[in-house]
Amino acid sequence: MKILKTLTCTIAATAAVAFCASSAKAATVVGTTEDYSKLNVSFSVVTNAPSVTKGSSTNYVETYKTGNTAFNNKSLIALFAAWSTNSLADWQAAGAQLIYDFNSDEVCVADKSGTNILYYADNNSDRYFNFEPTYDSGAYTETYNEKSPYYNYSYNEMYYAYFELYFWDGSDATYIDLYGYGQNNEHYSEDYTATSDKWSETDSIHTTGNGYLDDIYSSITSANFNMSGHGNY
Amino acid sequence: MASAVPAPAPDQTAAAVTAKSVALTPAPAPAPAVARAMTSEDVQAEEDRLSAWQMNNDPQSLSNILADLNSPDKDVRMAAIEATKQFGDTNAIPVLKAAVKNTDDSEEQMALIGAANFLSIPQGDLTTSGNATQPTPEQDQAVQRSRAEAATRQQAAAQIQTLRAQGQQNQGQQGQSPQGSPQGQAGQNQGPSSQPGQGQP
Repeated sequence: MKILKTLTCTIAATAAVAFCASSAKAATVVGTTEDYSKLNVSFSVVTNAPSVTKGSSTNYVETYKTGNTAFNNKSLIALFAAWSTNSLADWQAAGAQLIYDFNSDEVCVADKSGTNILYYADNNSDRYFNFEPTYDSGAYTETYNEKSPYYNYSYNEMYYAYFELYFWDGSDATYIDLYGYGQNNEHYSEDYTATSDKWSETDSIHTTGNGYLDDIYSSITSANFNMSGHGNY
Repeated sequence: MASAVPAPAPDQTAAAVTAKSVALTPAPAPAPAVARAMTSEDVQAEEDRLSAWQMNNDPQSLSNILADLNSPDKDVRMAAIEATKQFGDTNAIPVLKAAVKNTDDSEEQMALIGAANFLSIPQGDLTTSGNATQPTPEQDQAVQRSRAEAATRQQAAAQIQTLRAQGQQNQGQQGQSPQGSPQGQAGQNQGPSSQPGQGQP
């Protein structure tokens, strides 16, 4: 009986997995890349709530309060799925993640491989996530070793970064325009040898900003971007 | 109410609902801790696993992430801290706070505290309006309807009073205007209207 029960449970579990697998469609790949960094975004937004008035027309107290809300990669990927009318479930099944594609110079949704792009986030005029990690150059330190024809070098540079999350489909209630500026501490290294040419890069960006969330004026108290990538030229 | 995320609107999109569902393939438990120092390949592999776990929603993935807060490698620990923010579960807060005492590295301490603070903020949903702790359009419309219905009831009550007063007066005097008709209407006596952003100190 125990064997039969175990077998029954196994069959049921297998059927459940098969059912789930068959109901999830393959995510549509819209591009590929070999040069990208994984991107982690986290930001918090403080927004005014409508005022609350208590009292009469001549003797009253009016109070304004704020609300604080946090967003991360999951928030953005769900938003991009809605923007592009893709199935979030399909994307999740494909291991959707955010990357910064150095070929198109924009934030993308990629599958778990990182090389298959499911969505370019800066391709539309009425909805986009514009991210410029090297918006402007800054001070840097660098070490360069030449062993002709090969070399290796690394640098740390403090770039000025910029981002904007924008959405407007004509409905004021869902209007979003959040933007911010800040510092990007980038570390880059390249090692060119007879057998390989490897690169690696990390970016740590801290910004603040302002804008509109759901058509309400908002303050971005903290928006952090962390990028990490490596590859071969 | 200022810092609380409003309850999801009844018409919450399927995308938002799906985002909260349990992952199809729960993450396995992590491999036993490696006794030797981690190579760069080990670190990269663990960071890749963290990147995958952070996008899941199952308890094992969170457990794996929190276990890496004790990794012997700082890069892995920092990646695990970031992963807690991306996973987005408040259960990580006490673990992050406790980990502050386990390191003398100020950068790591700040990252741990920053992650705990981030997770303490209610998570929003960018696919629906209402992130700004404001009434939903349906709630706004419901309030307006309620006010309009109350005004109608007030007007009806006022007319009845007027008719009654007329009836009483007709029994005595004729030609005088009715007295005591209520002027105020429900929903209007709320003080001056103002827009968000005005009246700031």
